[in-house]
Amino acid sequence: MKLKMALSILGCVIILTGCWDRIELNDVSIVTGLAVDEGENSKYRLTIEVVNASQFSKNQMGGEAAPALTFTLEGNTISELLHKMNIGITRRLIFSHTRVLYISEGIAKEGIIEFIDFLDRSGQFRNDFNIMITKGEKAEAFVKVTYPIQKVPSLKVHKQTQSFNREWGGDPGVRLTDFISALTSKGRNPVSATLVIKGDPKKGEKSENNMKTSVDTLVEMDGMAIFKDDRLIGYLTVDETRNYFWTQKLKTTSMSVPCSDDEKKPEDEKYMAVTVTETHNKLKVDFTNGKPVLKVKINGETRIEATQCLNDLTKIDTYKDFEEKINRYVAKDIQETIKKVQTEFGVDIFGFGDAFNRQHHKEYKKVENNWDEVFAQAEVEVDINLHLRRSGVRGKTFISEIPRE
Amino acid sequence: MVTFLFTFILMASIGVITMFDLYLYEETLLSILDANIFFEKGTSQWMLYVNLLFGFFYGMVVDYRFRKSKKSSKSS
Amino acid sequence: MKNILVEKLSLWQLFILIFIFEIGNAAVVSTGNDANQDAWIAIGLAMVFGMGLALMYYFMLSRLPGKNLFEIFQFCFGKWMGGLLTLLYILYFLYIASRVLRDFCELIVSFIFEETPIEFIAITMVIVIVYMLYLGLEVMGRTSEVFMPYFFSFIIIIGIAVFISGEMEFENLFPILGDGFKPVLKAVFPQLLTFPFGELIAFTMIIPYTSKFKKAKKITLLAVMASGIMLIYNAVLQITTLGVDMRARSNFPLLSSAREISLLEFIERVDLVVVFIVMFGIIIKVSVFFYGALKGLELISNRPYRMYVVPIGAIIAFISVKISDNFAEHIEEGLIVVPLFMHVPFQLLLPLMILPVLLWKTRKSKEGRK
Repeated sequence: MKLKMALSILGCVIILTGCWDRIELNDVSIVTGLAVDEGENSKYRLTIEVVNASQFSKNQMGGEAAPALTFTLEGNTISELLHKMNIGITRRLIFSHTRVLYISEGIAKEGIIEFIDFLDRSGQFRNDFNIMITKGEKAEAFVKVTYPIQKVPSLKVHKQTQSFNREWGGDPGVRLTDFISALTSKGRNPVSATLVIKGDPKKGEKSENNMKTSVDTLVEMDGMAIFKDDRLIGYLTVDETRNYFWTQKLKTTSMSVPCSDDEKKPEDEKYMAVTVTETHNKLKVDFTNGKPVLKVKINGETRIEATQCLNDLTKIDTYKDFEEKINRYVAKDIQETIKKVQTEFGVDIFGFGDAFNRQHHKEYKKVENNWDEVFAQAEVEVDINLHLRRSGVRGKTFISEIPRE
Repeated sequence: MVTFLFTFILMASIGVITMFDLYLYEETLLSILDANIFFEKGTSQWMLYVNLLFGFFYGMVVDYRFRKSKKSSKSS
Repeated sequence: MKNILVEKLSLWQLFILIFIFEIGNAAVVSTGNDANQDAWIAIGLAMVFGMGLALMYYFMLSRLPGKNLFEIFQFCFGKWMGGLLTLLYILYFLYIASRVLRDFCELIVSFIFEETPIEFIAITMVIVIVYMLYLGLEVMGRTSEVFMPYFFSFIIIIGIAVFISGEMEFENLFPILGDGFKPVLKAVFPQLLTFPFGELIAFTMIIPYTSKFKKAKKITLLAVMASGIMLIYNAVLQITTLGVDMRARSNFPLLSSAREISLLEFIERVDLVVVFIVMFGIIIKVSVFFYGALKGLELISNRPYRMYVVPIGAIIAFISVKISDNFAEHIEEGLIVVPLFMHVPFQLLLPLMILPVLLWKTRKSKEGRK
């Protein structure tokens, strides 16, 4: 009886107590950003950014300290480096809250497959972090620039890309799985957003940067990078990134559409500000006479936010006229961007190949292996069908009622 | 009866707004009808169609129950 | 026929319903713009004509007490012809209900919820209206009774608050009748007469169900007068705060003028109060038209109207969005096409045509009774 009792108590002790893998909160540090550079002596130079959690509590114990901490190591694989970090850092690292992965230009040009595999394979990394290519400075510098509102650099970049993506569409919104599926697909090549530093990166490291109303150093979005397979081959500007995103998953954006059709100097021209509130985008490839024709079809709703044109916005004809102008403007923009990608880079970043595969499987199989060349020569048709719904709380603009000589 | 009147009134009201559109726009009857009956992707108008479907099925259920209660009252 | 309930409204409820119905969206959408600074005179004139219209409608109803407009049709023209007329009126009522609903949705979408799709707002509003009508006419009467004090006092308070804020400039009202009577008359007919006042035709479906039909005449006239005075008050408020030009440019002048309120730097940003007024006004207005259409369906199909509330509500939401592609079309249609092609025939011509037939038929029946 006593033996039974003892056994059951022992059983309880083994089964009901905590888990093997337990980690106490005060034993870990949360990593929010990873920056990969070329190493001087070995393959990679990895910088991690760790949150200094005590800086986030309301009653700051221990005074003013930097909101985040960075540490740099060199080595040949990323995973080894990550485990080796405790050379200089006290606690164990956890990566499930990683927000941004910065990759320097140099590494990206040589190919990034090798360490992307680790991120894909590891159970610790989630799919919700941004992949960013850093231009100009080393990637290392980007995890050190602080910002007054989001004090941790990577959290700032993450929030910034999210807002930019939602408000204007200047960030392609690439996550790890998007990147990998674009890599493996023959009908599509990966892209990723890029960042630059405005100002002196050395000044940005100090928290004095946060004391100013106009900060010395700022990390800014700078369009996107285009990859051929896993190698970086070129960049698009922010405006072109938006045009690229029109063909993908754009929800809202805004633009200035010229009032008149004839070309003028930008400063003479009058514009209307148009906000797109909802869109639906479809890529199609038609196969006629043995040649694929790339088609983009966009439907959506817009509204006018401001107008410098004198047309009367209470008339149906004005709405119709404006609608046509908006459609033409957007179509021209998208057409130009696709043409530029075709001629300058010759890689299909839009996913036309995937669409072709879905729509004309047999024909696609024939050109699958040299799809990018076929893409570069294909014709493009852009069909925009945006509806103008309303124009704010005023009908006519007061500009039209100012007496003029 | 409810279902029938529902469809009838729906069609008649679409006819009314099509008439006004014809008066205001210089477009063909078919293109206006197309815009008034079907919806484009990229707008949220799908909600309206879900709503209409709900109304339609509701009408059918009401009709069915009405007929059933009529039968039972006759037989009793 | 046994399922059809007899519902009764008290006179006070009738008064409130007419009052809110008239103010409804007329207070919010800019009306009488043709008359410029004399818009309030135009409204006053329209009110007088509107009382005349109300008298005519009441006279028609009083020939056959207890019967509504559609039953009168059937009485005059027999089952088939009457049924056809009823169907036409049902379509008219539903169309106007959708148009009124769209007015409100446009306001919400351009002022408050800029990102929410208009379809969603239309559907949620219809759900409220459907629920209210499903519970019946009496519930509608009681609901309006409950909200009436707020509705009334909010409108008054907005005016007083704007006045105290010092935003009113009474010079904007002058010169009175500077361009003579012509622009005023142009504003009255057909726009102002039909838009808030002529729409009383929907009440021909409700007045027969008041508890004391004999006194309904006085109450109706009083309510039309009260609402007319309220609309004049509103127009004066808008013209003095915004000025004529600004008022003409605003899509929703009452909201724009409420935005001027700033009392003691304490009571500010009260424009949501206006949204409340509009919302309630719209709910009542849509419900009254909707109820009229439902009663017609009840008459045609001989089934209780409750069965139709949900399906027809879905149609109202649908049509209210599909009615126009954009705001300009909505306004142009509402100001130019609809008054001519819907309001005038359905509010004036058809009743005027029916009146002699009705007189003839009732005279015969009365003689027969003797």
